[in-house]
Amino acid sequence: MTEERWSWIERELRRDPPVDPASIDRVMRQVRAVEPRTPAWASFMRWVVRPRAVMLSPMHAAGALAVAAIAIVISMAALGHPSPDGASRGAAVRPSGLARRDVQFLLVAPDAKRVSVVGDFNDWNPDAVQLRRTAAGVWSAVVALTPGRHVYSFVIDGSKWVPDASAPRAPEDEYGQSNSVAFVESGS
Amino acid sequence: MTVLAMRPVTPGMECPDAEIVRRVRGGDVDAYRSLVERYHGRCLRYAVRMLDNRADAEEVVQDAFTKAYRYLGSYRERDAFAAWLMQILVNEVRTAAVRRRRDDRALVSLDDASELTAPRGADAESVTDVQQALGRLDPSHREAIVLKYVDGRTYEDMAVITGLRVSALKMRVKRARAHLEALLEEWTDD
Repeated sequence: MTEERWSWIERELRRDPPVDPASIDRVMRQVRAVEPRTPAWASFMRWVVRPRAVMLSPMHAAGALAVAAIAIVISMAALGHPSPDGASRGAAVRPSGLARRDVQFLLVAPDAKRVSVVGDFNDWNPDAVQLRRTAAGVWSAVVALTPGRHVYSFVIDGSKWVPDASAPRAPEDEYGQSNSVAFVESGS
Repeated sequence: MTVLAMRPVTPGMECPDAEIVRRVRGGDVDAYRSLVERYHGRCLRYAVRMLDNRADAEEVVQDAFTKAYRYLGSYRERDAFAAWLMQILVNEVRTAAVRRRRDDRALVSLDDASELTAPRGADAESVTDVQQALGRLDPSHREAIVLKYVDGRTYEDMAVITGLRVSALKMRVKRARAHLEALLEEWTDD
């Protein structure tokens, strides 16, 4: 399908359905009939910030200050030292600057007119990597991939998506169509 | 704050969403009308494309606006109101679609229903046929196509709205587009 034809489809789909002004009134009538809900955290915060009288003796005040000082010291110590594995907590640390490695994709599809490979490495774009017919019915392409796990699939003749029968299947096949997984090791 | 509260919220004037939300939270229910007028068309377009039924779409959009109003206290101002509203609408549409599929199954199997709705003849050049082709897609694929091409969302927005990863959404859109194109070509060839 040409880009021109696809643009036409997009234009058709984007055409706004006429809005009946009465439907805005219906929405507002329904809105006025409901009570807005106060979230639990907002109720809690209101309770927290509600002014209240507090009796505090000098001994209590000194104790509270001591507890706060200890908490600050512990927090600063935790922030100032890396964790034992060298990673900061709460954020994934990705290896940077890893060299790409060539990965060969092969598909036997004797009747195909064209084959491409799509995956998380090329934004699932069927036009990004075309395989070449290298032997009778065998299609091949070499793609430089970063180390790690990559999910991919083959696209035959621009529309038929097929997984790689020789590779493991991706678990995120949540809508009945499978993808394959390639594990690329980092170079040593 | 007093000055903001005195400023009228007029349809057509670009009063920021966050300001309107503050007024509604402060008890000015009528200010909510500005948000409804601002986003009703966009929401309706999404719901109509997803459900392919004007009456169902109107009802779902109405419920989404009502739910947004009811839970406005949970809305965090650092998020865009439009994206938050869209999240609610997407969930309402999903629920409505599941409910309708369940009702449909009681009458006729889905496969039979799909056969009945396929357009006849060679002319696929109308929005009706595109809409029918859209209706033949898997619901998750239809959702991806509508968010991307009908609502014009970025993948990052779509990830926030659907709770899926950007990579998974890109894959879903490409698959859905290929399927939609194949259906339209198939019908054109017939």
